[in-house]
Amino acid sequence: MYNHDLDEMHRSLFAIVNSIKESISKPSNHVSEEVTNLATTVSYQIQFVEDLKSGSVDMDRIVIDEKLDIIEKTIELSKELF
Amino acid sequence: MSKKISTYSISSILSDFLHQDSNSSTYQFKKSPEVMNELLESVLERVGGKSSIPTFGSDSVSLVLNGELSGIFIHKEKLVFITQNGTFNKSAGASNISALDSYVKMAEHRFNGQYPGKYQLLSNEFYVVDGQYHLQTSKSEVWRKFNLFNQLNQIHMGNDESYICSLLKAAEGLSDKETEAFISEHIKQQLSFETKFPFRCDPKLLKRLTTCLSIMNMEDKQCAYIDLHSYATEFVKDFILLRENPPLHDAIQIESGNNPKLLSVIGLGNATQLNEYITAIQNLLDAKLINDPSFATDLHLTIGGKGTLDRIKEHVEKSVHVELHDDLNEYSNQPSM
Repeated sequence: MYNHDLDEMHRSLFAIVNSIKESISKPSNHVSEEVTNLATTVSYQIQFVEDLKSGSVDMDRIVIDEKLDIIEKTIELSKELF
Repeated sequence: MSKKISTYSISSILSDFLHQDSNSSTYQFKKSPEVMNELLESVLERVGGKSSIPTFGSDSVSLVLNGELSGIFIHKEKLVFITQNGTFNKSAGASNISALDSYVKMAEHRFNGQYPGKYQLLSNEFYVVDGQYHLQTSKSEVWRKFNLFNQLNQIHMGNDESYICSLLKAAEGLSDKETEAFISEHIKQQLSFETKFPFRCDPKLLKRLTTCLSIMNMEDKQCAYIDLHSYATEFVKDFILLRENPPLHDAIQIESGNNPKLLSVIGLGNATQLNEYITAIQNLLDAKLINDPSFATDLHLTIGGKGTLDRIKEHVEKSVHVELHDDLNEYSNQPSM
């Protein structure tokens, strides 16, 4: 239905959350602003993907695809952080 | 249509992701409570688990007001992040500052649009309290105290109870005149629609507080200060009853032997009518317990039925309105809240 596999995207986003959790829970780690922004971003994106899957997103298809492209970029960018 | 990604930084990605052209969608972006919950668990793990979090004691208040204390605490069995101007200082523990700071920033970011306040997650809830919150309204130390007390009290009290309790706690040590002036400033603040004061309370309730305080003797005041939470709770209940069921309110006042100046009918009739009203209620109280199921019906018949009840209710509403605006003429053209 969409240009992206939502289930795979959801799994990848949760993998980022797990990396962030690890970073936060270690007392010796400094939690950077980038990690903070990433956590905030991913938290919004996971909810968005879940809302898409449940059909509760009222948006033009073209806008949804753009948002999904942004999520892909986030997943790519997170690889540089962890 | 949404904007294209301008750069590849995380903050620009976040901004691009949340960007929506007006009228293009009704969808509201929100953060996943599940993710926020999991991240909170990580913060708790970092600080050594919930059981190792210190309790926020009343002796810590002055440290928070002086900007010397921040961190994560347990207050009234709730998890509270205490910040200073939205951030944490060294008192939070050098190794934990970045994690606490990070979590509060994540939570704050458009999370219900509130800061400080309550943040509800799935299995957790937490509060953010800021020692320097709303400094622009902190005209003096007593105002800063109120701002902090009210944030802390809102954690375990209803809005009105918290407001009243915080006002009195902040005014502790002030003279009667200074306390009255402080409460009057709050009434003006509540009546002024121009200011962005973050805490709301019905100014009529605040006006009633000044009336009650003005006729309280020293002993009663000392009793109230022993347990301000209970006093505030009873005070709010009393005000609600005064407006909803004035005769029952009066019966409770008469039974408790309180000052007759607090009765709903003060100013409605002459001294003889007031005495007759008090005697009639007293006779009923002598014949029946106040919690007897038929007491309320008998009370309404005693005072003269529905017509009298409506007249008293109208008088109460007029009184609280007039009392409020008599003292605050400069605000009298504004609608009552």
